[in-house]
Amino acid sequence: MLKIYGVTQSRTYRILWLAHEMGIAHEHIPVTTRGDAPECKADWFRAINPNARVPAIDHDGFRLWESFAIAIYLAKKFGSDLYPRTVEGEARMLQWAFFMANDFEMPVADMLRNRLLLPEADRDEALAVEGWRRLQGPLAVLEAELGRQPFLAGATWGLADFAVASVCMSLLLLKADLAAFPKFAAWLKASAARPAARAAARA
Amino acid sequence: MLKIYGQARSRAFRVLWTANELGLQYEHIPVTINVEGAQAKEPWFAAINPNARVPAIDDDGTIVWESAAINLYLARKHGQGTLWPATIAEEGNMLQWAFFVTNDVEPNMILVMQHRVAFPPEKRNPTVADEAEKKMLPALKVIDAQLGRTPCLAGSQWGLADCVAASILYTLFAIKHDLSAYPRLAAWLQASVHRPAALAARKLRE
Repeated sequence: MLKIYGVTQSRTYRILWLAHEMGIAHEHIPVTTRGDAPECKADWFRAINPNARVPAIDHDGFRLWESFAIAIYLAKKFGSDLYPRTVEGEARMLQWAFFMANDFEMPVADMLRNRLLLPEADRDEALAVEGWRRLQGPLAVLEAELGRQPFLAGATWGLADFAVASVCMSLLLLKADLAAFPKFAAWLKASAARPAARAAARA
Repeated sequence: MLKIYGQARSRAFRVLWTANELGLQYEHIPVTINVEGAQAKEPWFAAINPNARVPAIDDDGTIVWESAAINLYLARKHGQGTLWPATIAEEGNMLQWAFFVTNDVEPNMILVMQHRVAFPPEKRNPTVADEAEKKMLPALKVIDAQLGRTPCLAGSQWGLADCVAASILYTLFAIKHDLSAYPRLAAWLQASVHRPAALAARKLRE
C-alpha cells in the first residue's frame, strides 16, 4: 500500500493529484506543517523525511521525499501513460521539472506567503511583487512552448504538464493576471479542471 | 556529435564534468553570459534555450536545457551499468537528492557566493550572505547525516546522485566555504571534485 504524508494544503497536493490521475489506491496521512507543533518536525516523521518537509511517501517500505522525485518515481513504477515513452521525452519532462524547481518554486512561494498564507501583519507585499516580476520571463517561455504544441509533453497531456501545472496552480489561487500569457492561462485552467485535480483538492 | 553550450565558469561546468564521467566526446561552445552583449541573449541561442541560460545541449538534434535534466539524460543514454541507477527505486532516490540540492541548497548557495566572492565589494551585502548561509545550514546537515548512513548519497557506489549533487555543491569548494561543521559532506565533496573527470572539467575554469 502507498502511504502519502502531508496535508492537502501543501506540496502534498501534487502527489494526491497524481495518485488520482493514475488511480492508485493510497492511504493519506495529513501530516501538519504549521502551528506550534507541526507534525513534520516530529521525530517519527523525521525518520521518514530527515528534511522535515512534506510530501513524503512510504511505498511498501520504500520511503521517498521531494515532490517531483516522488511523482516521477510513481509514474514510472506504476507504468503510467503519463510517463514519457522515449528517452528524449523523458529529458524534456525533466527539463520542465527542474525549470520549475529553479525558476518558479521560490517566486511562487514568495507570492503565496505574502498574499495568502502568512498572517496579514507578517506579509510583505514588495516580496510578492518581486516574485511576480521574476516570473515574467519564465512564463513567456511556457507561453511560447504552448504555441508550438498543445501540451508540454507533446500531443497529449503528460507528466511534463503535470509537473508545471502542479506548481503553477498556485497562480490561479492567487488570481494572478495571466492576460499576457493566453495560451498558458487556457492550458493551466484546463489542467486544473481535470477530474483528478479536483478530486485531490477534496482530499 | 554532442554539443555542450556554456562557459566552464557557469553551470555548464556540471555538464562538462558529467560528460567526462561518461567518457563522451563532445564539442564545447563556451556561450557567454552576464556580460555586455552576452551570447546567451542572442537570437541564435534563444532558438536553443528560450530561457536564455546555460547550459544547453544539442545531441544530434535533441535539445535539452537545465543542467540536472541534461545530466540525467546523458547518464540515462550512456551510463547504463555505470552512473545510471539500477532500479526504479534507486532512480527515485537519485531524483530525490537531485531535486533536494536544487531546491534547498542551490538558491542560498548562489547568494552566499555572490555576496561573499563574486560581486564587486561595493555590491556585496553581508546580511544577505549571512541569512542565506543560515537557511542553507539544515540542508547541509541532511546531506552530512545521509553520508553517515551510506558512503555515497544514494548508496555504496558513487553514482548519478553524487555527480548531480557534487557538481552543484562544487561552488562551496570553489569559494572555500567553511564545511568543518559537516565533516562527512566535506570529505565526500573533496573526493568528488578530485575525480579525474572533475579535474578535467575544473582545468577549463580554475
